[in-house]
Amino acid sequence: MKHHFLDQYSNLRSPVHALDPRVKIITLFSFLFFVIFTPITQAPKFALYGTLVFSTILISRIPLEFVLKRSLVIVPFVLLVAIGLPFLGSGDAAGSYNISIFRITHSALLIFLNVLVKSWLCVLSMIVLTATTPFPKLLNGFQRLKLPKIFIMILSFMYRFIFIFIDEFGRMRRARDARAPSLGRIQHIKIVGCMIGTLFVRSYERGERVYTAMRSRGFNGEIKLTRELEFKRSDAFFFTSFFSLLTLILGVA
Amino acid sequence: MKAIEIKNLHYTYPDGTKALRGVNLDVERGGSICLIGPNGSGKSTLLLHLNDILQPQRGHVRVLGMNLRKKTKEVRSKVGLVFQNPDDQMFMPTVFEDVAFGPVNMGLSEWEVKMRVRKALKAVGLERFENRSSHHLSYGEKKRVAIATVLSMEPEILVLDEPTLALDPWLKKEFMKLLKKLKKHHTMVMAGHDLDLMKLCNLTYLLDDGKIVKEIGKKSEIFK
Repeated sequence: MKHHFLDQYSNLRSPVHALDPRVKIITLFSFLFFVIFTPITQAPKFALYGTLVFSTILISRIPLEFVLKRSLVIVPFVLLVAIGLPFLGSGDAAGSYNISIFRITHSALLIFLNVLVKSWLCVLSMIVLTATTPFPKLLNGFQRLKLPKIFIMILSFMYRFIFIFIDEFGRMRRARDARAPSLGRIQHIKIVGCMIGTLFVRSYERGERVYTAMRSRGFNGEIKLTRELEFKRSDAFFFTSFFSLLTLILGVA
Repeated sequence: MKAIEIKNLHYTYPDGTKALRGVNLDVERGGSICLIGPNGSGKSTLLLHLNDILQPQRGHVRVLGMNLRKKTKEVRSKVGLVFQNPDDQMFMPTVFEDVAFGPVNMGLSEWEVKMRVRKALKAVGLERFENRSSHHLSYGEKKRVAIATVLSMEPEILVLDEPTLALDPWLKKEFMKLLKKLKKHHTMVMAGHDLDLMKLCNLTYLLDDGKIVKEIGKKSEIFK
């Protein structure tokens, strides 16, 4: 079975896709830095940051719907902050937002907005990075930027085997459904528990076999990786212009 | 000098399963042998000894005259072990990295690694697969890449565990052709249940209950 949920649009052709992954990673981190350290009270700057991200999305030709759907990942976190709103901040009550005994203050609302806007912008930019870069290239970029090799190796294995585990789980689920089509909720949960246990044991055994295969090809515990990247003029141009725009936005009064 | 010399090899797994009970086997350089036997007869355990993944508990194994314990690194570059399941053999995100894994561990230069990857992929008929993600390949392609992952180390001996397992008749036919081609340049040891593998080999041995029971000439002799 073919899975695409990690890098579904990474093989499209666009100027953003063609960039060196190192440049994209550094640009992303600069963007995160600027967004996080801009006070939430300066709303126009956030509008401009948003414009910058959405322009990049448009240039990259990734469907906007896909990006927006993916960005919903922040909802649980934002809701968690929203629950705490009545207990956050101090100062004046924020008018009609008061619900019975709960009193929501202006500063609490600002905290909420701070989390909502910044995390959304950050997640959007990360989606652009991951959706425009094939995962192996992304790892390549991180490797060249000196992320410890052990992390690269763990992420490589994750990328290689996550689909196999998904398929394995799918097969187990089919086998379960074939023999027990209608189960009660409790029974269902029990069986899923057993399936997860089985999957763990199978993964462990697979790990042993993979390690054997690695040893048989000369692996002695030292991780050596080879990946090549090419820094082009367009990369320099992209980074300089993006960084200049960020600085310009920060400078806007 | 023989390619492989095995004398009185015994191996018992930690859970007490006696996998090998005194195996004796010689393989000439350039020869090809097939080990046929039922499940649990010790075929895979025997193959793991040829690459020093498992060490003899009694008896000894010599590969190209080398003592495996003393020359592990050299032995592993001379013996290419291809596992049953290609998903165990291919653990890197892209085909290139998987095929390059062995040469990189041998300490070759980047240029040489690249050349070897290209040559190995060409040998299995997958020239343009370098940048493909391993999980996007079909089963037949994975089987071929699994062979390329060891060919890139330029081994003298190819050891294949169940090479035709789970291949449909059409893929199997193609795969047998590939094995026949590889046989010309390598000493080959194959293990499996597929009796068609016998056609590719000079000698076939029947392994049962951890021992080589007999040498077989024809398929019909197996069941006697």
